[in-house]
Amino acid sequence: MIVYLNGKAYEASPGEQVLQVALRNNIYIPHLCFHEKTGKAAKCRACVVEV
Amino acid sequence: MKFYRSHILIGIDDASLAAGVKEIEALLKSELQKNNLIDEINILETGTLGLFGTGVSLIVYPEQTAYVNLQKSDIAEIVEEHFLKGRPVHRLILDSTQLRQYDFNYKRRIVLNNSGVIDPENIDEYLGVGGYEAWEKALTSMQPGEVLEEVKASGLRGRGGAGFPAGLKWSFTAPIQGKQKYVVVNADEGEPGTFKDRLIMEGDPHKLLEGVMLCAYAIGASQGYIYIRGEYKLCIARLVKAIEQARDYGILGENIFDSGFDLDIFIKIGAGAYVCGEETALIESLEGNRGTPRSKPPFPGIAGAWQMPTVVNNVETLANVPAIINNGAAWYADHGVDGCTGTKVYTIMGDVRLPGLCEVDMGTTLRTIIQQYAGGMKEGKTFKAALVGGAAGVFLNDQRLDVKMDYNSLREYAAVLGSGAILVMSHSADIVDMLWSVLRFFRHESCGKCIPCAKGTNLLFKLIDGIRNGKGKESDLEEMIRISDGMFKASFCALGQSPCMPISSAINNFREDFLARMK
Ligand SMILES: Cc1cc2nc3c(=O)[nH]c(=O)nc-3n(C[C@H](O)[C@H](O)[C@H](O)COP(=O)(O)O)c2cc1C
Ligand code: SF4
Ligand code: FES
Repeated sequence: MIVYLNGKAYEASPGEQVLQVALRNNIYIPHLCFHEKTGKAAKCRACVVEV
Repeated sequence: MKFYRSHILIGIDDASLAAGVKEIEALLKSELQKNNLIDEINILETGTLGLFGTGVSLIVYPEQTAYVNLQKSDIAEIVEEHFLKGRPVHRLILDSTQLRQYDFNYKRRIVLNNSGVIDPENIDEYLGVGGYEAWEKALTSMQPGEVLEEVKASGLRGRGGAGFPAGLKWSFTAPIQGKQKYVVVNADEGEPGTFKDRLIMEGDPHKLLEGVMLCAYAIGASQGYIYIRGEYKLCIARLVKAIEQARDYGILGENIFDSGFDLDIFIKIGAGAYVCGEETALIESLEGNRGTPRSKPPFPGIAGAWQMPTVVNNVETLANVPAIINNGAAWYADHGVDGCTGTKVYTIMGDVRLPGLCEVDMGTTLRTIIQQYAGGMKEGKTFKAALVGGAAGVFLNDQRLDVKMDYNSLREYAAVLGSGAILVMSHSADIVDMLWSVLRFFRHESCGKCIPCAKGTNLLFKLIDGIRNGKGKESDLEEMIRISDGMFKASFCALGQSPCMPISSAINNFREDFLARMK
């Protein structure tokens, strides 16, 4: 699956978060309650992006 | 029944309690006793009389004389002159021309029809005016589904702010099979300038209980909780008393009226956070956790209190239900307008002659509410703006005076009815100051859980504070709209989504006020 971040195409696997794709590709999105060990909590809304 | 020559109705509410009504009542009793009148003159306590800013007041029936701003020193004179000699004390009477200006609209009242009329602390008085008839009718002759259908057909919408159809909300919860369901009453009433729920609970607590009962029956809940604002001491006392009386009479408890239906109602006292009025935060707080919102879905109707299906309704919403079951959906829908039926209780404050409450049909215009029910503008003042719906509301200018006040019509003007608070401002009021206090309120009440609101409310306050201190620039206005719009899109709960309404309406309708601070 291909997603576009800031106009550029990136590879993403189903079930992956936009945030994960971005971080993997060195695009920094501020985030607080997400951690790779605990997964998404979706509580703090720090990582909100426009889709 | 004992026959009394006169009845004295004393309004007991928070305001009169603060003015020492209890001492005055005791004095009145002893003066009547002294004059051997205690068997002829009856003293009755009731909820608010609907007169505001009048300290301790009482109304004498049958002649309907209203005494206002009473002091202890006045009582002996009233008893001797009025009750013994039959000469009203004109010095203390609410000027009769002024009293005539009070239009209480009792004829059309549904929710507050008993308030100021019966003794809220006595269940017999509620029964005497037809109380609990709807409850008995439902339990003995209606299926839960019929109660639900009646409420659905009535078109009743939630009065807590959002206006969601009550019957529809109940219909999500009713079919769920589970071992426990709950009705939760939202009596947190945190919206600035709103005190309608307080008046309902103070004036007629049994009506709220009956509403809870009917809702519980319709959805199959065996427990009800009233989550009430901690400051509402008198409401709490009256509700506790009302619940005890209902239990004593077998109106609450097990196997009510031999129907096999069990129900009990409990009170939970809130600790004073605005966000706890948001239904999921309220549920968290009810469970004993820190009051911050949960993510939706799942909605409370599916998984609410203790993860059980829960209907959360506002006090006023539920207080409408007994009348719907008693008189039928068609009768109810005869009040109000299409798509928004029934009456609405408003609290009106600001530069009007008679601030206070009124209950009028949905769809009554702002102009009528101000002119007819609030006595018009204060002497020498002209209308400039109204903040409708509390802090999460909108600023309307004089071109909106003839907008019908109901959920649908207001939406056409990107406005909301909200909780029903109306703050009327004359030309001496400054919109910048108003918006400043609104935004200070949001900054203070943001729970801090999510970034857009925690950060946004601070940024907004800094901007408005700068403008207020003469350090703002015109681009700040656009910046405020941009930030609040972002908060609207990204915030976790409706608190963070709220500031955009007052901000955009203030800036769009009253831009000159802001520019005047930038010279
Ligand atoms: C920040 C915030 C505060 C709220 N405060 C109250 C409140 O004090 N009383 C109330 O009835 N609803 C309040 N609400 C609305 C409730 O979340 C909910 O919509 C309401 O209790 C539903 O009842 P209803 O359908 O009978 O209106 C608030 C909502 C938000 C987002
Ligand atoms: S929007 Fe505000 S009040 Fe609501 S969860 Fe976020 S920080 Fe808390
Ligand atoms: S990091 Fe995405 S919501 Fe918290």
